[in-house]
Amino acid sequence: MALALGLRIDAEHLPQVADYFARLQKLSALLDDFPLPPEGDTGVPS
Amino acid sequence: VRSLLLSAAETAAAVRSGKVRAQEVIRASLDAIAATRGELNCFTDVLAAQAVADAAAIDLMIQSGGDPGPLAGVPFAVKNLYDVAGFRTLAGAKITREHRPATQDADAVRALRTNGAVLVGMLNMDEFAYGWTTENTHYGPTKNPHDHARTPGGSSGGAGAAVGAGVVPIALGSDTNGSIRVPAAFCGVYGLKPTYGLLSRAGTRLLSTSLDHVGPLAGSAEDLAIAFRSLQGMVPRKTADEHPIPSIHQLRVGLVSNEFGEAMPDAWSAVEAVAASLPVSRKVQIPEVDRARAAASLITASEAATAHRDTLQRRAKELDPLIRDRLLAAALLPATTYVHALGFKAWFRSQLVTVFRDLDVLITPCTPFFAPVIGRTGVDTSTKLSIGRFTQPFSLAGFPALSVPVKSDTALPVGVQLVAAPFGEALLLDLAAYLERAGIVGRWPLQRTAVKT
Repeated sequence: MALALGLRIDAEHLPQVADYFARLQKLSALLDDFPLPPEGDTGVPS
Repeated sequence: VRSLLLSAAETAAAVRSGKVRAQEVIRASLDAIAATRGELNCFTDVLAAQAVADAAAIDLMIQSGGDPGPLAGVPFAVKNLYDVAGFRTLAGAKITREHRPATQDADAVRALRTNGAVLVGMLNMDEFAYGWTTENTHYGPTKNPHDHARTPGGSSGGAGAAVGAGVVPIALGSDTNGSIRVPAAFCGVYGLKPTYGLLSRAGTRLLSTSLDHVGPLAGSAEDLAIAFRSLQGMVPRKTADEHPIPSIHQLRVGLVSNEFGEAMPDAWSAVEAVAASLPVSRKVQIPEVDRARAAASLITASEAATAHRDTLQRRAKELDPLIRDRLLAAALLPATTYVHALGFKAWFRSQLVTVFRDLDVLITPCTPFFAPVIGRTGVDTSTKLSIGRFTQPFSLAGFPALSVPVKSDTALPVGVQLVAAPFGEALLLDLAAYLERAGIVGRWPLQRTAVKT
């Protein structure tokens, strides 16, 4: 995937990048569990 | 003259009245910078020749009967992501040394100079402002002026340290997730993140377009107000004259509930000290703060990786290793994650709008702990990620927030965050001034810096 995006990650840096990516995925999972209002209805009061 | 470096208001008054020449003030600031530069490493560039020339022009204007403005002769410095005509904008990076010098000042720089302030230098920061501690691999770590073994916070760490050390009374920082308020808290000064979109970011190197704010740090509530109003392009006046608080007891003040986030007991003690002098009517629960922090982190990551995508593809090895690996990970995030985080941002903002229908001001801790010790092993990743625990949610919502330094017997500075509804800056600045007059808040005394007054 990194290559497809034009990114080169050296082997020595891979563990750190993987660790950060795992953290971001964890944060993303937090949001995935949250049901947002339907599109067009952000809940912002008029 | 050196004592004037602690107060922009007093400096400007002395210069405008002819009691002190701007050149004397600027030379004192430059001397103070030189005396502390090696130890604190706040500055990446000191613009001595230009500053002395600008000060001479101000003195000439005063001698000719003119008025340079409400910041006449006041030295200030800017985080090195603001364009300054004739100089390279480094943004904490090495590769930016190859860029051409800026051809014009950023709007915020121009606003302060137009009001008579004199730019004396550009300040250290985390690379691309993507950090919390100003431990910059290219330019070295900036030290906390109150304990040189500790970080001043980040990413506007140079700004926090320079104001905290008393070498300039005002500095400009930027705040994506807390990068003005955290250094202000760690360095014992005031910092204001205004309402999102209120101040022009033109001429600044952005990290996250959805969350970036520009704003001032200062050593007093009055100086913060003068700087903010100058940035708005308004003629600064005394805050109390412009927006009087009819009665402090009429304010609807809320205290954030403990569920908002874990913090050291001293942080909550500071909050209680501020709350004790205000009519706190209730505890306030902010919904979904963990998700708000997550959304802010994801939006920042996605937008930062986008902003620096070309560099990541071509010259990643030349980036600060502390930043590079995080940006590379961020570049791999799917667009769906980013879009979902933006959707949550809109929802969370609507929730805060509802909360502030019955509230004028919310009081929260600013940071969960004191300034951490410098060192990659000393400040681990989990610590870095939690430094912005209390500031991130209000960045996400774009609400104005002000960090005040609380007077306490703690060994290190501790800040409290005051939050208002959008465009409530005047209220926050008035409240900070009120707390200062009441003796609850005030700049942390200089103890270990080379500049004593």
